[in-house]
This record gives sequence, C-alpha cells and structure tokens, in this order.
Amino acid sequence: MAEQPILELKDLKVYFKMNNGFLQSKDIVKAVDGISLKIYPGETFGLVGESGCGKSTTGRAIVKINTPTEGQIFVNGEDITKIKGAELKQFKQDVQMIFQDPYASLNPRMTVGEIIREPMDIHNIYDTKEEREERVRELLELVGLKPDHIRRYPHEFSGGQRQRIGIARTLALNPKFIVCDEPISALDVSIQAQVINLLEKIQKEMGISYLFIAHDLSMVKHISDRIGVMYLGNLVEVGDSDSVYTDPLHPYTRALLSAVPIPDPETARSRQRVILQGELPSPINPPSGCVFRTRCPKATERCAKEKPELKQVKDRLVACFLYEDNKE
Amino acid sequence: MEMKSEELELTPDLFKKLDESEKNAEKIVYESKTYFQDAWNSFKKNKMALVGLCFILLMIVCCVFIPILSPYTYDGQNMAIANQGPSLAHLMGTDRFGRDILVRVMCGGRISLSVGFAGALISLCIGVVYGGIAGYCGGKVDMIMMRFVDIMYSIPDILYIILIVVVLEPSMTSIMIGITISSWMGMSRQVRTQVLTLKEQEFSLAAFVLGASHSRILMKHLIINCMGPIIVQVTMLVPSVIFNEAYLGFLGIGLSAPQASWGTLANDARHIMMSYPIQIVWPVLAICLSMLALNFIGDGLGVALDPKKK
Amino acid sequence: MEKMLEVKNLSTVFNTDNGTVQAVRDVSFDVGKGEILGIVGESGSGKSQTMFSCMGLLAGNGRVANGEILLDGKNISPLAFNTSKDYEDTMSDIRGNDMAMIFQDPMTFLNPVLTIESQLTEPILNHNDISKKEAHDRAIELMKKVGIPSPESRIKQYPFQFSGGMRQRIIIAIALACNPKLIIADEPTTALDVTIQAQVLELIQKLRDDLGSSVIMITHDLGVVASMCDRIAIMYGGKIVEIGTADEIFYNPKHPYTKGLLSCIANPEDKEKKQLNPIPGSPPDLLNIGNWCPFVDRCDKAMKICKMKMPSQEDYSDTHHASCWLSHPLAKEGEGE
Repeated sequence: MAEQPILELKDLKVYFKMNNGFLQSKDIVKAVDGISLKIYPGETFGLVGESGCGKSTTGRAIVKINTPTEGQIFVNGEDITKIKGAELKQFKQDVQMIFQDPYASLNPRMTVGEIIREPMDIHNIYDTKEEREERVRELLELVGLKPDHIRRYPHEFSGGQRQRIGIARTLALNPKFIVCDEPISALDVSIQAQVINLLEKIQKEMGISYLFIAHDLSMVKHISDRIGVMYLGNLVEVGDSDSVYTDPLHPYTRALLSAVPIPDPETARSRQRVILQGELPSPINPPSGCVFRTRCPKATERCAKEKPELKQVKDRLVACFLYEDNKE
Repeated sequence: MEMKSEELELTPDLFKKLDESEKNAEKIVYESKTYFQDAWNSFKKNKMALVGLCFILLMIVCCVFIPILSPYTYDGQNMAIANQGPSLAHLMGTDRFGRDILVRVMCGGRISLSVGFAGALISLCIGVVYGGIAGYCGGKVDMIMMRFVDIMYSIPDILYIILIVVVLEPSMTSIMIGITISSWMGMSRQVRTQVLTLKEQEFSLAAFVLGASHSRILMKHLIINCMGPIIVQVTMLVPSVIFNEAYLGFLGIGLSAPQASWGTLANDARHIMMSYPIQIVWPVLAICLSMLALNFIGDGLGVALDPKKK
Repeated sequence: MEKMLEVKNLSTVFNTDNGTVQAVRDVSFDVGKGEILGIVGESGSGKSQTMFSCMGLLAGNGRVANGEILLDGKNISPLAFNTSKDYEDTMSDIRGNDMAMIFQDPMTFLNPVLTIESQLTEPILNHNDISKKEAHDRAIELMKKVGIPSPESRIKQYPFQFSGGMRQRIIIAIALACNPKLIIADEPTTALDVTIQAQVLELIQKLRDDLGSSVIMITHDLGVVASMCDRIAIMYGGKIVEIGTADEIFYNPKHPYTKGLLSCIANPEDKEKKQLNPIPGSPPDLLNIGNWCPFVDRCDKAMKICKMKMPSQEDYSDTHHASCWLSHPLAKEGEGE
C-alpha cells in the first residue's frame, strides 16, 4: 500500500526494571522486544496473545503511558516519542485509548457529564459550558444512553453502560486513532456485541482507525481487518484476519487458534486440538533464539541459536524458520 | 405443566406486542445518590458515631454560648467564694480565685477545640500536598521525601514541640506551629500510599491519555478519591492535637494565665487536687469525653467512607 | 439416568441496605450420574448463588427461602434441618467429600502461607481415617493425576511459586481429594489464558471419564459449554429460562434470550463476516424485581402478558424445557411468529 500509515511502530522495545530491593541487582523485564507494524487509516488491526505477551504494553507505549526503551512510534509520519508542547497537545487529541475495566476507568467522584466533558475542558474545545454540555448530550445519545443520565455517577451504571460512557469520553476529542485495550473482556456476553457494534458504527461514521488488543480471538477476528499475533514480546505472525484464521502458519498461532472455544457443539466435538505443553516462560529471562521454541512441537536446534525475523511468507509475515526454505 | 389462570384471565389481547415505550431496558434501579449522601446514610446507622457527633456539636455550642450568656467571666475573681463545690449558682463550683469553673471550662474548650481543629486542618493541608507530590512523582523524589518523613518520625515529637514553644514564647501561634510540625507526617504517608495505588488506576491513566496536566490529575482524580481516608485521618488527628495541647498545658508550658485551655485548667487544679478533687474532674472529663466522641466519629466515618464496602 | 443432584423450586434471597435481592427464583434442575451440566448466565443471573445455596456457602445476609436440594436422594436444603448447627455439621461432612467446588480465582482460594502439601492433605485427613504418610502419598498421586510435573518436589512449595494454570490444577486436585460424586466448577477457566483454558477443560473432561463423577460447570462462555457439556441450562434474572441438551440449545433454541445470546457471539468458524445482533439494554437488577418474565425489557418479541405474569415451563422434549409466553397457543393466534 502506498498510503501513509496512520501509525507505524519501528523496532519498538519496552523494558521494565524490576527492583529486587535495596542494593540488589535489577532484573530487566522485556515486555515488548522489538516489534514493527503499520496500521493504515480506517483500518482495524487486532493484536492478540496471552497475558504477559506485551500486547497491552505496546498499546500503552503508543499513548505514551509507557516510555519506549528503544525504537520509534510514528503517527501520521511523525515520530511522537520525543514531542513536546503544542505538538504533544495535538497528539493527545488525535490518539485516544479505551480501557479494559469499565469499573476502574471512570473516576467514581465525577458525574457522567463531568467525565465526558473533561477532555473538552482540558483542550478548550467550545467556548461556553453550555456548548460543551450540548456536545455531552449528543455523545451520550450516540453511544445509546439517555441524555438525562448526565448528572448520575458511574457506580449507578452497569458494566456495559460504563464502557459506553468511556467510549463517549474518548470520542469527545474526535480522535483519528484509538487504542482499544481489551475493551470487551470484562463485559457480559450479551453486552460485548453491543460494544463491538458501537465501535464498528463509529468507525464507519468517523473513519477512525483502531488498534484492537484482546485475548478473545473470535471477537478479534470479527472486528479486525488484519491480525498480529504476539508471543513473549515478539510478533510471530501478521496477516489478513481471515487468512490467518483459516490457514495459520506459525506453530504458536496454530495452537492458539485450536484452543479457542467454538460455540457450536458439532464443530467443537469434531475438531483436533493442538494442546500446548508447559507454561509461558518468564519475560525476565526469555529463551534464546526463537522465544516459542520451549513449547513448540516443531522446534529444531537452529531455533535455539538464531532468532527468526518476520518474513514474507505467502500473503503475510511470519517469524519462523519452518518457512525459510519454501520461500517463493 | 398446565397454565394456571386463576388470577389472570388470558385473553388474546394480552398477547399483543408490548409497546417499546413500556420497556425499560436501560433502567437504573438505584436512586441517584452522591458519595456523601451515601456515606451519611451509612454513618447514621452507627449509633455510637451519631452520639459522638451530637456530643461534639453540643460541646461546640456550649463553648460558644455559655461564656456569653453566663453572668460570670472567665477571669472575674471573687475570693469570697473561692473553692466552692457545685451549686445552683456555680454548676461546677469555683476555683481557688473564686472564678466560675463552668465558664472557665467552656472558655478552655474554645481554645482546645479550635487548636484541635485548626491544627488538624493545617496538618491536612501540609500532609496532603506533601504526600500527594511524593506519591505522584514516585521514584527518587518519593524516596527522598519519604526518608525525610522517616527522620521526622524518629525524633520524639514532644521534644521539638517543647523546643519550638520555648523558643517562640508560649502562645497560641507557637503551640499551633509546634503541634502541626509533629502531626502532618501520618497524613502525608496515608495520602502517598493512596496516591501510589490510585495513579495506576485506569481512570487516572485515562485522564493522562486525554492530555490532562499533572496538577489536574493530582487534584481532580487522585486527591479527591482519597477524601475518605483523609477525612478519617483528620477526625483522628483532632483528638491527638487536643491531647498534645493539653499535655503542654499540663507541663506548664501552655498558655499563660488568665487564659486557659483544658490542659492548663487541669494543671491548675492539680496543685489543690488533695483538698478539692472535684476541680480536676471537670477539665479532665471534658478532655476524655471529647476524645471519646471524636474517636467514635472517626470510626464511624472510617466505615462509612470505606471505598471497599458495597 | 440416575440423578446425582436434584434441585426443586429453589429460591434464595439476600437482604441488603437497599432491599431484598431475589438472587435465585424458583429454580429446578437435576444432574445425572457421570453427566456434565453447564449453567450459563451473565453476571448477576444467579448462577453462582444457585450453587452456593447447594453447597451451603451463602454469604451472611443470604438464605434459602424455599425449595429442596436432593444430593443422591438426601435432602440437604437448610430448610430440611431443625437447627443451623445440624445443617452445618452435615454440610461440612458433605463438602469436600461428596461434593467439591472448583473456584474461579485460584489465588484467593489457596492460603498463601501454607504449603501445597498441607492444603492438599487437609481434606484427605478430615474425611478419611488414615495416617499422614498415606495422605501424603495420596496427595502426590492427585498431583500426578491433574498433570503437575515432578510432584514430589513441588508439593513442598507455596502457592505463589505456581503459575495461574498450575494453581488451578491444584484447586482441582484439592476438589478431587476425596473422590467426590459431584464437582461444581464455578467459572474454572475465566482467569486463565486460552491455551491454559484448553488444558484445564481437557483435564476436567478426562477426570469425569476416569472417575465417573458428575460435573456442574458454571460459566458465561457459550464456547466452553459447547465442547464439553451434555446438557446446558440458561439462567437469566435468577431463573432458568431454558434447559436442554447441548444440541437442543445450540441448534433449536426456544427462548428469545437463548436465541439472542447465540446471535450475538462471533463464531470464528464462520466463513463470511456476519453482523452481530446484540441484545439491547442491560441485565435486570434482582433488587425488588417484579414477578414477571425478567427478559421482557430486552426482548424484541415482548407481549403485554410478559410484563404481567411469569410464564410457566413448556416441554419440547424429555430433556428440552423453556419458559416463555411465546409458546402459548394464544400467542400464535395473535401476531406471534
């Protein structure tokens, strides 16, 4: 694609220092260990992986909650890792985040009106309080809540309603790019679809791009155009969501997909599962070479020595030596 | 199973589609209550706390009005009626200069209570700002600021209270300065711990992502959410400040005569305790009951403002 | 099939500051021997409270108001006992021995300051007259059974030295300690990652096959029940709105709520992208809930009667039952389907 990506990560690394106590050596947790990806305008990019794989840290680095240790983040072609002042302010308007826990992401001491109005207060959008209130009512209606809920407090709402309030807040600034950090994993099944449909509707109307982070593969596949699979701080496979799902190439993607529960008794009974052995290794001391080799059913000696790079295989990018030879 | 239809006759009309307006899918069952209404409802249920609150309010009213309405003044001496026991004319009796003890205790209450509340409020301001900044900045700033608090803690507080009061001459101001310096640390630790956990909460991250300034996040999102523990801490601080002041008075480095606080009153009565024990009972009773009442209020608020409760 | 657990007309209420919460409302179901029953519902649907009522684990402000709970033919409802002490004595005998529970969050269930050994041998020693050595051997055997590698060394460790998936295995091992006839699993995999979830589900299924215990699986995930449950009960607003075999529920749902649930989940196997049809609104609050169909406010086929009277249960087959006014003959005459 010749189009300029709205977001580009170049070899992003986020390491955390773990304090083991006074005068002790510091362990380094490699939460994100060199990932590169591009997201284009109007696109939804799904980032999946198990807990501890660094997907949330990636999202948080993009909105500047976590500072990258190395690498660059470009938004609209501009490196945002070191911006300040007016540029930073513009960036905060353009890039927003939807959080996972609808119970923790709204300040319990503020009314719904104050919560949704806050971004406009911060960025001085609209001159008068009345105009802002008007906009708050519009936003409430957009996300399917009643405008007279404006004086209520978050704890009076259910989880799904709160998540919609959170979405209304992010939309107040008309962002161009939203990081959705597991926005539905804390919600009930019947509510998840409401939020997913709302996100899709907003995307259609406002042309926003999403980075959709989740561990629930079925919903990610539903909403995303492309999917990236992460394992222990590394991207192992990136590609079109349908083709990744129907024909997973990386052994980890295969195992992950076969573990997804399918809401259909017949398919569920008939399918073969690849059950992964063992547990996720610690990100403090990841395995040498390919990080997945300790649990990989197809690991060879080479996997322990060298680290596979993301390379074009068929229609997508895969980081695995299995596909080195039959590369077209 | 058969359909029971004794109470309600099933007519085809009942099987018409329900109008959308009759549905209430986004209904909110709970009444809209602010945080403080909610806390007050829960506080009301605690009888001891309510009794404590009434007592303190009554005490404040008495302290304000009894000296005004009483025919006696706190410094009006009348040796003719010195050291009398309680009577109708002097409900609590008179002291060795024939001054009405009731009026003196109430005037002492004005000073003790105002020192208590003012001292607690000043500690609150210092503690909240200090702890808030330490917790919010974290890292090295936090480390240095908290080690300073540790050092302050390691010096016995009565030592520098006495030092300050002696150096600055005993007066309301010097007593207040001494007491506040010794009592803000607890508050700052409390606020710091709260802020440390709250700043990792998603709502403060959300404010950060929205571009809120540091001071806005600290005030509107963090401090306001530790109001509960802060208020509890303040109600617990008031009695400790009153106690410190009484302690100073009792040691004889408090206010100078004829002004009196509960502590100096008790100190005065101590000299003649063997002959007129009743005189020491009144100020001590006033201190004890107020402490008890304030502690009950603190406990009640602690439960009512606890964010963990449903 | 012989019945392991039979619950008849169970109602459980909680007294709160705001009023009475009817958490479980007139619920009846049964589990056969060696059967896996899935109870599916959203948060606040009463699915966990139903099982807590059976286990006698209700919180202090909750009580069973009505109903019978028959475990292997014996009524263990608190209402069947004269004093609460009698009830507690009986239940502490039954809990862990005849029926055991697997909890959602392994970290809160395990005591952080005790070794795995003492937590694992405790139920064995409580319910059996055996020596400590025998209990230790049995604990090692259990750890092998649930697939914990090198149990001899790991048994001396503390819970924090285990990962989430391993902790959940220990919980399962504790539940299995006395070969219970009935295992109640309350969202056993919600806190786990998908690959670990697959391991744990596989384990539960394997144990059912080996030991022949009955399993009740409480979950909100239709995907989980589809692959492992024989029968499924759908709970909504404190009631079981539909119950049937897995195939009946998935391929021939009768209640609008079940239909709604199935149409609002994404099936990754679908070839083309289907539009999700969410159920509008939010689940009802069980505080002071009216005595009519709890789903009425979110149902697109709601009728006037639905907001006046509770529908009774309609039988579609021996195993398939649902409670909805739409099955009433008058509904079809009206404007029904």
